[in-house]
Amino acid sequence: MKKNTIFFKVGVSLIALLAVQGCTDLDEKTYSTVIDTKFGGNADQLSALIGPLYGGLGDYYGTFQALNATTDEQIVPTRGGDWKDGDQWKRYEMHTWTAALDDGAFNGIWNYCYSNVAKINQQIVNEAISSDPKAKSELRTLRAFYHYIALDNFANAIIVVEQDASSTEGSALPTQATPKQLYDFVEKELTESLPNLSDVAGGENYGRMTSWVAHMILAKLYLNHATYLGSNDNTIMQKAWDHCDAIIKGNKFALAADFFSNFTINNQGSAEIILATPMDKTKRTGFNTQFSTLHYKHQLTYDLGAAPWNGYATAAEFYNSFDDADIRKKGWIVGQQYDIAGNPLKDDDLDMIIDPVIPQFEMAAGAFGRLKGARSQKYEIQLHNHTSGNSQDNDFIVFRLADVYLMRGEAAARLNGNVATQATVDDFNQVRSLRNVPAYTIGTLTMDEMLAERGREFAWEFHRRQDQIRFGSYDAAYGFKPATDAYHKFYPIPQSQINLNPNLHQNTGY
Amino acid sequence: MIRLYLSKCRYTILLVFMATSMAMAQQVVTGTVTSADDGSPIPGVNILEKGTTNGTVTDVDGTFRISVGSSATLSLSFVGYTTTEVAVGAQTVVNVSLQPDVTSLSEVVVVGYGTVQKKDLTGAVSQVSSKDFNAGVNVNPLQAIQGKVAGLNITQGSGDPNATPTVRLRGYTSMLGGSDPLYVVDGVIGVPITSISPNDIETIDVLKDASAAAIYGSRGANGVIIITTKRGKSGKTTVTFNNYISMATISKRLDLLDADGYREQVSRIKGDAAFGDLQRFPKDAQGNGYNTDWMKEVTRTAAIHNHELALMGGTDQLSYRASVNYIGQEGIVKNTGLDRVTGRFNLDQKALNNKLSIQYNLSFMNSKKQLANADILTRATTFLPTLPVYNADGSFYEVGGSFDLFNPVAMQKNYHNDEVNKVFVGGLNLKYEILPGLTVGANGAFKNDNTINSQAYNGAIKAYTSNSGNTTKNLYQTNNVLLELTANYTKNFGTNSKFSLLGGYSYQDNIDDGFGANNNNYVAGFYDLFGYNNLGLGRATLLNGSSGYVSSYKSEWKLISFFARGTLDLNDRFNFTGTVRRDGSSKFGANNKWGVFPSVSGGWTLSNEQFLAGNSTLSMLKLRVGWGQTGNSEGIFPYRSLGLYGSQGTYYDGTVGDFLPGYGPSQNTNQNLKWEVLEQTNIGLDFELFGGKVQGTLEAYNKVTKGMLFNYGVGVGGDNPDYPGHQYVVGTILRNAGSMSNKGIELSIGMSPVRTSDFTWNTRVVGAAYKNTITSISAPGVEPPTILYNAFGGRGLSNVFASKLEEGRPLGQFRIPQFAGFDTNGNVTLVAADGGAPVTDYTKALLYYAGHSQPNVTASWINSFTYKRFDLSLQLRGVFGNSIMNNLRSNLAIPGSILETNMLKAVGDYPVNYSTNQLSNLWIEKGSFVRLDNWQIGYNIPVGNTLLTNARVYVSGNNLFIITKYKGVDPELEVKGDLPTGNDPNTNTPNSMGMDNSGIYPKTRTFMLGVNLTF
Repeated sequence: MKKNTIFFKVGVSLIALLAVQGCTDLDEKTYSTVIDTKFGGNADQLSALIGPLYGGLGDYYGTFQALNATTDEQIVPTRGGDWKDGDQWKRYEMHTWTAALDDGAFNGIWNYCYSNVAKINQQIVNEAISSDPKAKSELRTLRAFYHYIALDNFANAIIVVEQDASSTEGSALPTQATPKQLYDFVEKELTESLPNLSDVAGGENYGRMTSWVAHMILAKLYLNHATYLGSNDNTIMQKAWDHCDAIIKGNKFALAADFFSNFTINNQGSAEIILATPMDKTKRTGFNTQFSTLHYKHQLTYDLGAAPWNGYATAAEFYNSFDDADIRKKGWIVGQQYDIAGNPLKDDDLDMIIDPVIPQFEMAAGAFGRLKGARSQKYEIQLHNHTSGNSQDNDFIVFRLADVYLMRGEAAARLNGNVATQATVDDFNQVRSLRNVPAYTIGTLTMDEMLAERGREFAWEFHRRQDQIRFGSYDAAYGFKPATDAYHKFYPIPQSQINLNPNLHQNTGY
Repeated sequence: MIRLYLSKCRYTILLVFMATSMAMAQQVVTGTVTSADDGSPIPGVNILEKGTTNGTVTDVDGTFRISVGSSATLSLSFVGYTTTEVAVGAQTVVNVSLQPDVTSLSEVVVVGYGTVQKKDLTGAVSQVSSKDFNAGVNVNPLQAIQGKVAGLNITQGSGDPNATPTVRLRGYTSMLGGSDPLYVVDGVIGVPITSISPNDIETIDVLKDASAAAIYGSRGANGVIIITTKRGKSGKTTVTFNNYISMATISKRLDLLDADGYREQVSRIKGDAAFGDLQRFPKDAQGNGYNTDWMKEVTRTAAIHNHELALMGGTDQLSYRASVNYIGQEGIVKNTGLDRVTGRFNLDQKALNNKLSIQYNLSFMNSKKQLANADILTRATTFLPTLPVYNADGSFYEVGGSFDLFNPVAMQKNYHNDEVNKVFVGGLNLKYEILPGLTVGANGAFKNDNTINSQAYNGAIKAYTSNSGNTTKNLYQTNNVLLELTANYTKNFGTNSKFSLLGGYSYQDNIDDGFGANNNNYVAGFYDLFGYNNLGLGRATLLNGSSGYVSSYKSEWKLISFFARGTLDLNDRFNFTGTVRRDGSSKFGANNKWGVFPSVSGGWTLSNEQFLAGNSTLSMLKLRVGWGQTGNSEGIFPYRSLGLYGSQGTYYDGTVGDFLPGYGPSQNTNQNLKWEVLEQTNIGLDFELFGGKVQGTLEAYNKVTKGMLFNYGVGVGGDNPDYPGHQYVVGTILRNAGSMSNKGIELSIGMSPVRTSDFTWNTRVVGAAYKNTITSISAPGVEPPTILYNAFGGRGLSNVFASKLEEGRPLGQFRIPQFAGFDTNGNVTLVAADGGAPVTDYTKALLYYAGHSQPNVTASWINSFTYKRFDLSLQLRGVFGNSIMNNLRSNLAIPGSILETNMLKAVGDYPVNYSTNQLSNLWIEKGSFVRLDNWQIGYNIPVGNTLLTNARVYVSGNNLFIITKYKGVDPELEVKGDLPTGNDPNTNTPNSMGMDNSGIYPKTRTFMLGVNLTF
């Protein structure tokens, strides 16, 4: 039996050996994944972390495209069953959205802001960044931009900054800030960052936070201060004028002689762009406005890989606000449509004629309803595009110089008791003279006209909601919408966020 | 050839008492022992002269020879058969036919790291042996036992030969953790169930309750299915050759419009002006319209053939079984199918005075799959019947510029989606008896599972222009090593009493890795030349930059366990079992690396007590009670507890003037991440009536999943309590917070109403009822998240969902508006939430609970008959109480959309101006059904004294008929209900459950003809 004993001993030892070795060996060994504590140590890795913080900025188009339908420049009517989508488009049009039903859209904006903020906060404490004033200021500016968006959309949002490294017990959940606190935060962050930011426009700074972008955000913040703070203050309005003026005086940007050159497939060369989100049909997908707006049959017009979705259109009133001579009117598609070889197209048994007039919000199924509403081709539509994401190469513009002129002119008028000054007229005409339309005079450039002109200039550039609120037309009746309550100027705090954070309370009215 | 169960009874053979003949008048008796069910001889039958120690054993031909005293009585016993006594009298030849033992208590069931006699069982374990497998085409073992085990719900949602059935044992226990049971094959944990040929299987044991499954610790929560393969036996070498061929057809099709019916409806709805559209109403050279049945164009009558060759033999010291099985299964959808070869070699060796026993198991599978493209089936449903397949010039007919119309034949003939899957499992199992009763064992296994998927799409076809004719090639593989050491001590004491102790250690290491590449935008015609075989020739990598063209990954996990089990059996009256397993997994969070999973259970055989002894009606009654905790960690992928950086798309770098790949935080750290705990109490009652003529089992259980895993939404920027000192950096975290409950009862009753020498009838009813409830889906201190699922799909139906995860409701609960009628404009009106007039606005409609997709009751009725050499078996299976959202029907009955898609004939029942689909109970239907799952008629050919020992021919089939009120194609739908796993850490929308959507591979009806030969 001796052999057995040995066998037994060996067996027991083997178990013990494996057990001891095993107990200490449950740490996970990684191969193709990266653990957060093991990354960001060297300069190359660091730059590979800062760059992507801008990658998130590129979701700007995707975040705001649908909710632009709450304004008078975009409408997504129901065409038979198409674009019914649980009536979400109708709620946008009619301003009857709710926090619960439209959580996806509002939470999308919220997460766009704060997931990017969280990623910035994670990096900003990195020694290599916190010790570099330029890098740190750039990230603070980017973070302020997201807070500015949160302020503009939700008013009572949260302020999230990097965690104090010395504190190990967190305050758990963020507290809700007042609009004033958010406003002050954005102002402070940008004002403090401005001196350290690069004033090189374009080139290595294309798509990134420069001093000019900081000026622009500050100008927007100040111009809209009454929206956020509840009352007008001319000392603040003067600051709006000052920051616009700083950009123009900086002389780094120039108005494009050809309006549409700002929106071509290769628009990154435009000298008018202050901030754009660089996009690419395969390398950085997501810009697909052509798919949202074009009719199904436009696949044949532009030789697209798939049939577009026939959704987004503009209201007839908005389309008709353009002078026929206004070159910007060519940004809309109306009339008979042709295939790429020039043959006229039909939709079912009807000629494919796009009619700007949308007779009712909910139209019956069929070609008649499908052909209603002018479509946008402001951003050049890419021919022969068969890439799978339906994305285009155009960079989406967040801020451009024409806006600065119109803002400076508007600020001058607002400082003048909401009456245009000669400076106002000059600023507006700087832009207008390039659009083949008659120049404004002090008499013709009313406040309403300023809003209308901004609409023509910036159609579908996602400034419209803010502008309509500032000019007081967002809660007026337009399109199929009756006059609505003023509280709609801010969206509800997303229900998902309220569920997650008991510190958050719903905005007034919702 | 069905009797291959000798290994179970080897110990019986060894225990044969050697004859000590008495010096009385002796007579020599010879004879043959055969099986009453098929007449085949039984080798190894233990024959004892009653009242003596004189005995013998039948040889391989079932014959025996024994000398006995006068007026002797022979007692014949064999595992699986009723012990029979025969008075010899003056006979010299005694032929005995043994009845199969329907009293299953003498059976040995496998309980994980050991076996136990069924009479001593304390947990809920069901065994299905191969002779009870379903008739018909069984590609994988799950199909072979569908409907056989109470509470084991196996759903084959389609006729796709490459689809794996969904298996849910006692309900849905988890969402993210996975609800699939653990498969253990010959001691190897985690073998892909589809890699095993059902013909190689001897028994399948299903560990249903926690007291049985707790020995598998953190992986046992969804039950354990233990598969034991057939092994060789000593004796004559036998060769088994089994073959069948089969034909499959579509069992039911949608009632779609043909061209004339379509034109009639277009005329009714749109008016004859619509016929002016020559794209939709083209005419041939003679000016006639076309009539194409697109479903017929893309499907066929499919042939299936299966061949199996098995060799078996050996000595007492060394025995083997080797088998090769081939199945070639065409799919009923053209361009789909399965070609599978499995090979298995099992070797048993004994050494060192039979104290050392060694088992070698080698298995290999190679399957070539042509995978289905669901989109083709969708298009075959919707493409207009008025369109031809081809243009006059031979090119495919397409409707340019239409959003929804694609020629399905063009799609089918211009794609490849081929997969080659190879699984190799090698195992070595050693057992050494150190001292009487004390055995140590070692079990080692290696598994490699390798898949290469290759796809190509011809970019010249309209449906594939959107991806420019993409081609992909991906390799995925898993290498898994298992090492287990066990020690087992068993001691008998007193009368019929014994105790045993098992202790063990288990180590398992799993590495997954793979890589992939894709390209597109080929020169026209390259698809035909290269398919997916020359990815480098695609132009996309040069024209359209992207980081998505190549990928690779590798991950590893380890599981280290200690386990122990003690059993105590007292006087055939009381049985106790206790198990404990301590599992440490690398996948768990830093604070929860180790978990302990205990269980206790007991049994009381009441029929062995004085007050029931000798009761002729109730011949056996046993009560079992068990409690245990098991874990569910199979759904946790490696590294899910760690804060990770992942690919974050791309970003523009102005210094290089181009886009670069970015990285960023992709996952929040959860140092507390752990297994889900499933706590289960089970009460079981085993009974036999009338001396075993009726036997059954009743089980009741209560299962609670605690710490249910879910991707919980979190507020980014808030502090992460599972990683003190850090903020949430992404919007979700995998966390143990929810809970779920399943309660149910199961009943299984079998009986033999008729049993004569010529005719027998065995019948069995298996049924289960259960109730599933999500009890919590919220983390402490926060409101439950709003998780909408069961997307009601179709045009204009984004963001419309038929279900919402709700506490207090089952998974798969439908919550929808109630249909009120159509208004004059053809709009659907719904019962209003405010109780007023019906509304058309969905958001103002009353939402009510309109049934759920989980059945309340599942049941099968299994019958087998023998008449002389003929036998007949059939199984009816039913599912009751579930509801189905017939989403497909809703999209094929919209008059307003008739020019966009073909419609059901039922479209004529709806108002002409109805054009906007609306979610409501109009599309909810009852999903209950009864199906004749499978049937078989066989004949055992008399073989005489030829080389053959057995020959059998049979015809059989699947899905002969279904009884249901359901209007769709088939109410048996895929019902996964769990979260899509994979490596996406952010999704929290469950897979849809009970939604009948387009693109479902049609169910089949099969007929087959088979021949089995044993030499």
